[in-house]
Formats: sequence, C-alpha cells, structure tokens
Amino acid sequence: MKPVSASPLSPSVKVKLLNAGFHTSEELLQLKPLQLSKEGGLSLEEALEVQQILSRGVDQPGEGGARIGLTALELLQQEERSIVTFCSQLDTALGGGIPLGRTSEVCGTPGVGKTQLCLQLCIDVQIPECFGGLGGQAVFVDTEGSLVVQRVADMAHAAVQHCSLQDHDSEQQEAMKDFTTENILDHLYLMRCHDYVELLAQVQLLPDFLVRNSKVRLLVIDSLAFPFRRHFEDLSVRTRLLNGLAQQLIQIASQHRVAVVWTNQMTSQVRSGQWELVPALGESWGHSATQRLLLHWSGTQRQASVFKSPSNTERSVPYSVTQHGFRDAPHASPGASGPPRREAPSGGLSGSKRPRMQEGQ
Amino acid sequence: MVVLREGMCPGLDENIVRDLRAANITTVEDLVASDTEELAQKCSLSYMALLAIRRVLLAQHTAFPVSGADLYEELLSSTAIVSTSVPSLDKLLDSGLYTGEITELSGGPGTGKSQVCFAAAVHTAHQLKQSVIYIDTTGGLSASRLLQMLQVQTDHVEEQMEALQRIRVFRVFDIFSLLGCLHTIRCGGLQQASLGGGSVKAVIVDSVSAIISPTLGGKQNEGMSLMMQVAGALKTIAKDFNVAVLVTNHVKRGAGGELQAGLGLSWSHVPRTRLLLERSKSPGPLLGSTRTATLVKSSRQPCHIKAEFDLNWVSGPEEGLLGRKRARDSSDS
Amino acid sequence: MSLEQLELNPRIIIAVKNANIGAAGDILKFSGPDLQRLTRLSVSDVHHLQTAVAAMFRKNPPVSALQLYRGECPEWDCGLRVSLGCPVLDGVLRGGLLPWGLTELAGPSGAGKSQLALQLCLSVQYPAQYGGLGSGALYICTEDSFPIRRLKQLQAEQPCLRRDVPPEVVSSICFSDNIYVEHAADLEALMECVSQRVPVLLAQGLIRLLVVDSVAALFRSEFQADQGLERSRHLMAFASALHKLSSAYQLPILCVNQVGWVRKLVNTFLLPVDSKVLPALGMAWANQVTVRLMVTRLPGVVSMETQSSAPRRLEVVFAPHLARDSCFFGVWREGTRGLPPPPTQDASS
Repeated sequence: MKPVSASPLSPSVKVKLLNAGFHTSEELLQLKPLQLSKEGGLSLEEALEVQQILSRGVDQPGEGGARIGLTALELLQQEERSIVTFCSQLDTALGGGIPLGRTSEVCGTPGVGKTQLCLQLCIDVQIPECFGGLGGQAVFVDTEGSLVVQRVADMAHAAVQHCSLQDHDSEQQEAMKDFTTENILDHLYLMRCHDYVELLAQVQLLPDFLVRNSKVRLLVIDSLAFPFRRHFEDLSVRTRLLNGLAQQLIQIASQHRVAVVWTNQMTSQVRSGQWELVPALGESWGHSATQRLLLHWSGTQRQASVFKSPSNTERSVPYSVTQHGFRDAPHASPGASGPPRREAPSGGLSGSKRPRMQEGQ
Repeated sequence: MVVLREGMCPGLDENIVRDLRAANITTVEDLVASDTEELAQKCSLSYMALLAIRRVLLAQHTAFPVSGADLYEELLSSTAIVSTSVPSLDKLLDSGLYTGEITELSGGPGTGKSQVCFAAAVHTAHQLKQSVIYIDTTGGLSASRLLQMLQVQTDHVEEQMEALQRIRVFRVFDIFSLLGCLHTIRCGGLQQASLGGGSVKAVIVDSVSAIISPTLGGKQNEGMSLMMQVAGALKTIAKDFNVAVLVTNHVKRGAGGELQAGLGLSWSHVPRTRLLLERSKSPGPLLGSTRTATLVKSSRQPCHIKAEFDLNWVSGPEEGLLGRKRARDSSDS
Repeated sequence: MSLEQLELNPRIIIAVKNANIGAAGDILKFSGPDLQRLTRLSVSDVHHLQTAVAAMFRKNPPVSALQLYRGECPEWDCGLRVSLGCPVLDGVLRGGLLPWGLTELAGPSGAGKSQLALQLCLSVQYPAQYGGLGSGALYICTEDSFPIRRLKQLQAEQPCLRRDVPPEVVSSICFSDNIYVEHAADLEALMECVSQRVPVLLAQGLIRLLVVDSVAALFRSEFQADQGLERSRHLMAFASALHKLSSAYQLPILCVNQVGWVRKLVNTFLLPVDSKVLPALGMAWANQVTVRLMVTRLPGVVSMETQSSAPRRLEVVFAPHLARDSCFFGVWREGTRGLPPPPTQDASS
C-alpha cells in the first residue's frame, strides 16, 4: 500500500486526491480514469496522468537492480577498474587509481597541480588494455580557462614514449600503432563553460553524449567551484543546485561506467579565532564526492592526501609535477635531499630568513 | 478520511454507497459518527446490514489498545541489540543499535560515517549471520572494502562470500526512488532480502541527507513533506519488522561556529539516538585515524558524553588483524 | 532567452508557462522529477524539454583536443601569445602571455612590474608574426600616475630592443597613440571603467590587451581588516567582470599586484614553504588567477655593454601550461631583457 503523498505527483493534484479521501496508490489504480476524475475532482487528463505515473511505480522496477537490490557479493564481482595516475605511490594509496563508476574531488590551492592531475588522468585512461590500461576516452569540461592544449600534447607525448619503451610482444606493438599523441588528443573531448548555467547545460547533455561515445571512461570538470563561487545572491539556491548537480554526476558515474573527477578550490576561513584553509563550497559539499583528494605542500614537496574515501584508509604521499606530467616524487624521503631542479628554482631568495610558520595559537 | 467505496467490506455494494452518499455520508468517519438507526431510516436500508458494515469497518480502521505489560513483554522478546563492532561506540549507544529504532550518525566528510556503517553491516552479516539491507545514495559503498573488513575477521573464503551475500544493496539517487525502495522493502522486500539466510536485522541508509537536501531550499516547499515521508517510512520499517535502522547525516555550522547535524529541526526528532562524529584534534599531522564521537541525543544515556575510536580498529589491514588474532589466541589458551 | 525560441511542441511550452517558469535558464535549475511535478508533463516530455534548453545554452559543441591543437577552434584558442619582446623571457612563458584568462604579475616595489607591463603594451601592437596581436592596449592606473616619460623612452628605443623586427615595421607603428590610459582613483571608478569603457574600446577593435596596475592598491585601501567578507565579494565581482571580458573578446589581461606577508594560517602546509611572501589579496583572488608570475629584485649589479642594472628574477609561480621555472632579467634603457642563465647569478650574490 504505497501512500499517495509519497508519489511523484504534482502537489496540487496530491492535495485534491487526499481531500477526496484517497490514501494509497492501489485505491487510485482500481478506478477507471473517468471515475477518478469525477471523484477526485481532477480533469480527465490529470486522472490519466496520475494513473500512468502510479502504475509505472507499481509495476516496473525503477532502474535495473534498484528494486530488488544486489547482494554485496554481486557488487564485488561488478566492482570497477581504476585509472592509474602515473604516481605509483598515489595509486597504491588510492587502491589502484581513480575508480570508475565513482566520483572523486581534487582540492588544493592554486598551482599545486590539480589541473595537471586531471590532464594526466585524461591521457592515462587511454592507455591500451594490453598495457594494463583501459583503452578508453575522456571528456574534459574547462570552466577556468586552464586548459592549454600544448601542455596536453607534451604530456601525451611523454605517455606514448613511456609505453613504447615497454612494448614487448606483438600485441603491444600493434596497440602502439594506435596509441599516438594525435589519437590521444583526438579522443579527448573538450567543453568550455563560462558560467554555471552553461555548466548545468553541459552536464544535462552529457548522458546523451556518453551514449554516443560509449568508450568514454573519464569525465573531468576543472573546476566545479569556479562558476559557482560568483554571482550568487541566494546561497540556498546555490546549495540546492550543487546538491542536484552532485546527484546527477553520481548517476552519470554509475550508469555509464565512467570515473567522474572534479576539482575544488580552497578558501580561507576563520574558525575559533584562527585562519585556516578549507575546501570551498561549504561544509556539506564535502559529502558529495565519494572520495576526496587534497593536494598540498610539505616544505617544497608536493603531497597528495586521501582525505575521504570509503575504500581506503587515509594517508599522504609525495608526488611531483614534471615536464612529462604528474609523476612520483623523485626522492623516496621527502625533503631529505633537494627538490628537483625545475620544480623549485633556487635563487637569490635562499639567503633570506626562514619562512614564517604559524602553529596553532 | 477514508472514502466509502463498494467492495470495501462484504455487504457494501454500489447501491448502498450511492444511498449513503445521498444522505451525505461519504467517508468511514461519517458513517461511524452518524446514528445508525437514523441513518437506516433516512436511507431506507436494513438496520442490521448497516450495523454489520459499521462493525466490519470499525474493525478495519481502528487502532487496538495494548496494555503496557503486553508491550513490555513483546519488547523484551523482540528487541535485539546489534553491535556496531566498534567497542567505544557501542558503549555510547548503550551496547549497540537497538532494533525498532532509528540511530543517526552525523559528521563532516571523512569522519568515518560510512566506515562505521560498513563495520556494522559486516558485523551483522558475519558474526550474527543475519541479513542487512544497505541503501547507498552516494555511490560510496565499496564491496572490496567490505571484503577487506571480512578478511580481517575470517580467513575462510566461503564464510566471506556468505556474509557478502547477506548484505543486500540498493542504489538510489533521488528521493522518489528512495521512497519507492522503502515501500518495496515494506511489502516483501525484506523477505526477499533474507534469502541469503537469517532475517533482516539492520537497514542502513548512507546517506539520508544526500538525497533529501537537494529537495530543500530555494523555492521548493514540498521537500519538507517528502522528508517526513522518508522519516515515516523508516520508522514503520524499524517498528514493523523489528530491525535496527542506521542513517547517516551531514553537518553544518551553527551561528556560533559549532557543529550541528544537518537537515534542520524537523529531522532532528526522527532519530532516537544521534551521534556526532568529528576528527580528533591532533597537533601535528594532517591525517589521523582517531575520531571523536559525541552522543547528542539519546533516551538511555546522558547526552554529550564522548568517546574516541580509531578507524583502524574498524578496518586496519594490519593492526586490526593482529589485534583480533591476538584476542583469539588468548581466548583459546 | 525566452521560451519561444525552443524548438518544442507548443503543448510543452504552454505547460512550462503554466508552471510559472518564466526564463528558460530556470529550467536547468530543476531536477527532472521536480519539473515533472511542476509542469505535469510526462517523463519523456520533460526529458525533451531539458535537452532542448540545455542545447540552447550550450554555446559550443564539444571539440576534440586534436581540433584545438590544430587550431581549428580559433574562438577557444587562436594559438597566439603576446610576446614580451625578449626571447629569454618568452622562453620561460612558452611564447608569451596567454590570450585569455587573468595573468598576475606580482612582486615588491622596484622589482620591475610596471616595466614589464609597459613593454607588453608596446609589443602587443606588432603584427602576429612578431609576437603581437596587432592592436593597442588599455592601461588602468590606480595608484601612481602613468609613467609617460618612460614610455616615450621605450618607444624611441624600440628599434634597439626589437632587432628581430624589420625597422620599417617598427617605424610604421605609432606606439603611444595606441595606448589608452585610464586613472581609477577608487573601486567604483575601476568597476565602471571595466564595465563601460573597456567594452567600447574592445568593440571598436582598438585594444587587445588590458593592464590593471595595480589591483591590490584599491582593495587594500578601501576596506578595513574586519571587512573581509565585503572585500572578497567585491574582489570576486571584479575578477568575474575581467573573466567575462577576457572570454568574450579573447582579451589578455595583466594584473599587477603587490606582495604581502603570509597571513597567519593554522594549516600553512597548504602553501609551499619557500613562499614567505605571497601576492596580496589572499586566496579569494588567487583562485581567480590563471597564471601567476612573480618578479623579485636581487642584490648585486649586472652589466651589459655600457649599461648596468640590478638583476631581477621572473618566476612562474603557477600556470596550467608552464613548469615552475624562472629566469633572470635586467631593466635597461631600451626595455627589460632576459639575462643568460647562471653562473652569472652565483657570482653576483
């Protein structure tokens, strides 16, 4: 006996039906449409629509598996593969990389390497299967204007070089013929959004796009925060839009077997009298991604921390951004030996006093 | 406010309904409240027939009074306590999740809500050999993580697989699917879910706020009512099937910067027990695995007592394993 | 945009109007089930509606990176960069300033920020094959008056600086006529300039570079320390206006900024430890910046031919397409010019 009030009918129709004394959808479905319109005070059209909506809810399973559910065992067998990051320590920390079918958020201050990680993923997702990759394609939604295609080409070239050093058997050699810088660029779809309405529009059209381009295994939005952090007078509207967007992205991830990755900015905030940096878009937004990665600095060393993850325990690992892309930190122990040459150029500043580090109070 | 319709009970046929309507009697309430004798005259119906209809309708539509003693008896026989498998949390909760009640875990991102849910699910499925329904609204359930937790508890692959089969997962991403899903569970889903052996003892919704919050805010006014529908459905499931319901909720900052559970005042009355999870303040490193749980609402324990727990205890690939094994060894000797 | 522009069954449009949804953009703000309830349309109708509206708002269809790489999408990336007029400096920036986004040039006073900005105003006027965009520049001063004498000097010395450009090309450009100068004494004037005057100049095709020297001055002087929220709101509005201009007209924007001390933060680990001075205006501003460059003045003296100058360093703090790299430069009579990489530096310090 499903209550009328819990059905996806318009509020005014619900009120009419309740006033007419209908409480369960079964009661409504027993009637002929004409009877229903008479007794419920609805137009015949409305009555037909009501029955259509309700019968759909009663007879058919919603989405596959949503009705009877799956056992965790079945789920385990379906559990998806991951996209490697090319930073082996980060891959280990993430349990193999960025998982398909899930959403991940990358936060960090400007310049710490969020975009670089995203671009690296766009390339790594295309690594042929015989090299242990996914042989997929990628979609990159650029909201900040941070995509510079020459950089992508450099990273793609480096990835091709990396793989070509490893082609041992004939299958791999065959695969290398298609794994070229040009093809990588060809299979990376770009979308540019200038404001949040355009972003919402793109996301709305994405499911259709993903059906047409069924090899897409990665969706990147860089950054999600940027368009949503300006011109919002009413913050509750923003919260609702963001929540809706998050649900849409989760749905895209699980229905199209893609990994969804978005970046978020950091913002400074006073908490109990102290300034601290926290991810933007508010506290409750932190829940929306299945896992959250925080990129930050430790001395002159870049570090990635798995901040929230259902499947992995939290830990920090060092990484670096080189000419070739997102890579392992060159030295095992961070800070023990000097940073790589191009990473942090040494210079005239070294003679001056130590940076100020404020701790707690 | 149930409308009288033909076939609702034996003897109530089309003619009688029409006659009653003519006498301005349209609902069960109207019928019960009116004077039967007078009505019989007015509608020229048989007094006996009306009386019979009235009696059947009353039986169908009234609540039965139950004595407190009976209730207590029933409670004793049916209530079970499902451990969360985290000792310090169990202590806060007065030994675990009570069946027939809704328990809520609220906390910021990465405070271990989902981990506690996983642990409770695994514990119920493996140790208690009972079934669990897990409603995942964030796509955050990771079966490999569940397996990892099971591997800590047992080395038998078969036992692990059996336990995984007892956890039935529903993935829903909007509020109507959630309501539909809860509805399915109420009419038979529970039996289906328990096919894996044992009866359903816990229903976990992780997270309830992810699905409700998109309907709140802005110009929408229906969200509140839908939220209360969810609350009602969860309560009914908890009571009718005597299962422990565990939900997770997000947090927001109050005016003074203190943490509060999300979804506002109306929702705060829904869970019987409420825990607030926070990261423990650690001086140096960014990431620690210790979390502080505060009892915010409870009918059994004094509020605002705190406990610390370590996520690695729940999960710990190495430490947890060692701890358990050591415990097992000592109990053997 | 109005609902009538949608290519949809009139029945659907009427239903939307009946549901009191006036603007088409609002449709994107509702979820599918919400729209179904509000408009009482069937699932498939709502899907059609959402798709149609989304298609209307999506300005450009997806392109592949290869198309962009080959220069087939000039509205996104025309492939041009604004040269700084010196191969060493351009080398660090991979050709020069991006023709979109906000480029920030930060540094203490006397480091050579305005020198670099002025030089950009000149080099943007060269034709594309010489690293310019073939158009003028707008220079907004908020603090000091415009260094007109230095401009005259630079203009006169252009043939000396740009030996790569044929003299007849250099002499054919009348540099100072194409540089528009605005003084904005307060925030209101600055906003007005950005929202009124700049679009007019852009629409007439008179400028292809905007320099704001400096942003921090106004935002620091107009707000007290306790007005942090108010300040960041104005800052966001300003940055948002700049971004809009930049993407609408493919306009490179250079913002000169001062540096300040790192604010007392609890979790300093979020910033690299070597940055003990940070560009002013904090995180809210930094999030809006596409490319951040830092210039610093170093101790010592370097000489070239008969001139001498204090050595300075230009450093890429972050940029989506550049490594954290740096080079040294000096300010000479004819303009700023890069120095060959060390060992000169070791000797000087």
